[in-house]
Amino acid sequence: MGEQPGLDVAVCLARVRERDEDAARALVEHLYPLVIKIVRAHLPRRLDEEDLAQEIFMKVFANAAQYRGEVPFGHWVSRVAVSTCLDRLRAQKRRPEWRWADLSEGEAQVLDTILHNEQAPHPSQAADAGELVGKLLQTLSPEDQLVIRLLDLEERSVADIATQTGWSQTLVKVRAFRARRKLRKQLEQLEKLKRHE
Amino acid sequence: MSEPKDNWQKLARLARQAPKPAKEAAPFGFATRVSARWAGGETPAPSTWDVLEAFSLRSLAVAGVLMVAVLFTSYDVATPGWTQQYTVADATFDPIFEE
Repeated sequence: MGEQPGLDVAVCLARVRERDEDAARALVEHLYPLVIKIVRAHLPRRLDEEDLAQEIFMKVFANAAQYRGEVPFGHWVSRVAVSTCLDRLRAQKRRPEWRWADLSEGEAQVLDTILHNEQAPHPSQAADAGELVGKLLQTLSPEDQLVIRLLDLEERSVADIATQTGWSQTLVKVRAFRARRKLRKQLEQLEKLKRHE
Repeated sequence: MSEPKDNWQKLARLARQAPKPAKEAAPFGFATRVSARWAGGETPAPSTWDVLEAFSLRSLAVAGVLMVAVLFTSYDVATPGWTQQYTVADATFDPIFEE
């Protein structure tokens, strides 16, 4: 999972445990694509992605002795990354409330098409749809954001999400159900606000 | 694949088609900075949850010690039945000793 060939992770990790700086550097370069993907997917507002990635790597090294090899190292690192992002999201107590006027022209067009057009939206609107989804997700709790991103955007399985988060499969399903209900409500709310603006 | 009827699913389906960023290597000097910070003995700041967890565990331990201490010091108050029995017994024997 996100691990590239060419680096013996087990050997590298053993050297990291002996505080070998070169091994730590190699491991950071090897794991960076995996970590930055998670950081970008869950990045809280106004936070620098590089700072957050650094924090994740520091946690990985600080807890490297606790890794027992029961799951692939990439899975373990993913879990550290996800929990760090969740902690940072939790620290942001305020969640935005979007109005129609806050949407860009492209996002407003996408939303209009979704809400009122019977035909499928054009694929050229995908980037704007991605931005709009990002805004809508910010209105949810960190846990809800995580489950929707993994389930509806990355199309990961419930079992996979349960492994990555440490939640039960039932909890994942319940969270997804509630989060989708909130998102539908958000869409309805935006439409209502549009009529009043 | 048929078009979903639900607005959220429609939007999510469209968002999934958004171009994905290319797999990216670490920026120049990033790995060196991180490994140097780690080698310098810097540890990550504990998260709010870590602090809360540690605090809760300590509170639990202190509460346990206090509970045991209170049970030892206030045993008579905590078990009035026993105390009454002794009182009755004392009252029974008192006249004997008085004589």
